[in-house]
Amino acid sequence: MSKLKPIAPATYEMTQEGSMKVPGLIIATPKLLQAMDIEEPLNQVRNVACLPGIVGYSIAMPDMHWGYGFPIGGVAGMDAKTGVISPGGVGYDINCGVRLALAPIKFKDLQSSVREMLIHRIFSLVPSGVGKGHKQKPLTEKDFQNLLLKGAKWSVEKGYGFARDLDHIESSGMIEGADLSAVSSLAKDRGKDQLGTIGSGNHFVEIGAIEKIFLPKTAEAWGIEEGQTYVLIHSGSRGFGHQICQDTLDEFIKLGFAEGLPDRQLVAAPIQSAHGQKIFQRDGCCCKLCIQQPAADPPSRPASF
Amino acid sequence: MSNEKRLFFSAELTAAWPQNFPSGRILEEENRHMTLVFLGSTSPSTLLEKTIPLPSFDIGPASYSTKWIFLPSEKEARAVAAETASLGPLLDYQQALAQWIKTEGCPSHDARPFFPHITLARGPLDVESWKQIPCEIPFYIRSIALMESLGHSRYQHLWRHCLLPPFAEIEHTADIAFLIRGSNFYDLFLHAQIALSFKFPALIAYFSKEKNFPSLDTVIAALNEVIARADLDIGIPFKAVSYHDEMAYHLNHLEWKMIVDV
Repeated sequence: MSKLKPIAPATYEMTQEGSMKVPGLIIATPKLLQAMDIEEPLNQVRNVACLPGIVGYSIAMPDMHWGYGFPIGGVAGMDAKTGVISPGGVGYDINCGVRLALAPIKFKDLQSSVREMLIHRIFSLVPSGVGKGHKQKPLTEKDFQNLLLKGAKWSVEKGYGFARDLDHIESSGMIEGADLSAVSSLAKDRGKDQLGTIGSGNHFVEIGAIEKIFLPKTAEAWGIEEGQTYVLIHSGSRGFGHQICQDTLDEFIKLGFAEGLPDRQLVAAPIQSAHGQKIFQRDGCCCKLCIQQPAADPPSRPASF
Repeated sequence: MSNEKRLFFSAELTAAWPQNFPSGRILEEENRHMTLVFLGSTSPSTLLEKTIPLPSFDIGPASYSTKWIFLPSEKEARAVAAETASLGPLLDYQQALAQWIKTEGCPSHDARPFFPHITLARGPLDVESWKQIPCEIPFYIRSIALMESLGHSRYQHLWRHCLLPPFAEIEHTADIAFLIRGSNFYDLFLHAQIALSFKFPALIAYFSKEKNFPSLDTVIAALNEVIARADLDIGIPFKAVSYHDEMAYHLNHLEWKMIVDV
C-alpha cells in the first residue's frame, strides 16, 4: 500500500523512497481515493518519480487511472538540461487533442431535420471507426512534405479550412522542428489516408449547444454565447503517431535507455542528446498532422456547414 | 446388463466462436470439443479405477482453426468441422493417451491417426454458405476430459483435468489488458497473439511464425509488427502493445501483464 500523507485539502504527498528522485503528489479527495482502483496508478506515480531530471513532484490529477508508463492524469516537469524525454510514457497518440469550433448560429435555430442532415453529412464525409480512412486520396510524399513545411496553412490552401482558423490554433498551426526524414516509411504508410479522419476509441465529433457560461468575461472575449452551436472534435495522430511512437520505443529499448527504470514503457533519452532531439523532430511531424485533424477535418466543415 | 458407454477423451475448449453459423444443426457451445481418442463402448468404472495419464503442461495450449472440413466429404457433407493449426504439446499428450489406452486394453478404441478438428454442425448443410464465412476461430484448451456421448451431439464429462488458461483479460480503465501465461517467451508471444485474436479474429491472418524470442522486449516488438501490418491492411482495434514488463515468475510458467492501446 502506498504511503500518502495529507498536506492540504484534496492534496496528498507520496513519500519519496527507493530510487524516487522526487516525492509524489496526488490531487484527490478522500472520497475519490476510496472510489478509485488506486494501486496501479500510484505505482505509476512512483515509477515516474524515478525518471532522471524530474523536478518538484510526480503528480497525479483527480482523473488518475492506470495508464502506460505514466498514469492517465499524470504530470511531470523535467529539467531542460538534465531531464529526459519519453516517447511512450503517456501513451502513443502524439498530440491527441480536443478542439471546440463555434458555428455562428443558435442551436435552437437548427431544425431537427437540419440537425439530422448535418450529422449524416459529417458522417459520410469524415471517416470514423477502426481503420477508416480516405482510401481514395492518400497523402503523397510531397503532401507530407508540404504539410510539414506549412502546418495547418496547408489544409487551408487545400480548401479544408478557413484562413481565420489559423488565428485560433496554437502556434498558428505551425510547430517548428518537424523532420519527415526522421519518420519511417511504415509510419507514413499507416498515416497516409488518415488525415481528416476521426479514428476509433474515445475519438468523436459532437455537435451541441453551449448550455452554460461559467466565465462570462473570457467567453465574451472568445465570442462564445449561450445557446450557440458548437462542434467538438477529439482526434489524434492515428496510425501515423502510433507507429512513430513505436519506432522510437523500439529504438530506445535496443539502445538500452530503459536500463534502471522501474517500467520499460518509461524508456527515455536525455532531452539534450541527439536521440532526445530526434523525438522532437518525429513528434513535431505528428503535432502538425494532428493540428490538421481538429482544425480542418477535411472536407467536412466547408462541405457541411 | 452391460455398464458400457460410448466414451472418448476430449479437449474442452474456450473459443471466440462466431455469433452465427450459416446452416445445419449447430452444436451448443458447451458440446463443442476436440476428440483426442475415441474409446467406443467401454466401462467407465473400469477405466476410472486406473490412473489416467496427465499432460505434462499446466497451461492450456492455444491455437486457431485454419479451414472448414466437410465430413465424410464435401459432396455428401453430414457434418462440418474446423481443422486446427499446430497444437504443440497437445499432440504429444494425445499420443501418450492413445498408447495408454492401447496398453490398458480398450478393445473398441479408434486407432486411426489423430486428426485435430472441432465439429460445429451436423446436416443438413449448405456447404457453399459455410465456405463463405471466415474459418479462423481462435481457441484454447481449458481442460482434458473423459466424456460420455449421450447422443444427438450431447455429452457429459465423467472425469476432468483443468488447465490454466493461457490468458485472461484483466480490468484496465482506459485500454485493454491481459494476463498472459506461458512457459517461455515463445509461449507468451503465441498466447498474446491468440488473446488479441479473441477480440478480433481477422488478426489471425497476420500472425507471425517467429519462434526465436530471447527476451520479453523481442516479444513486444514482434507483437507490434503484427499489429502494424494488420492495421495498415485492414484497420484493427489495437494500436500497440506497451512495453509494460510487469512479470511474475511461477514455478513452471511466466505471467506477463500485457497492456494494449486501443
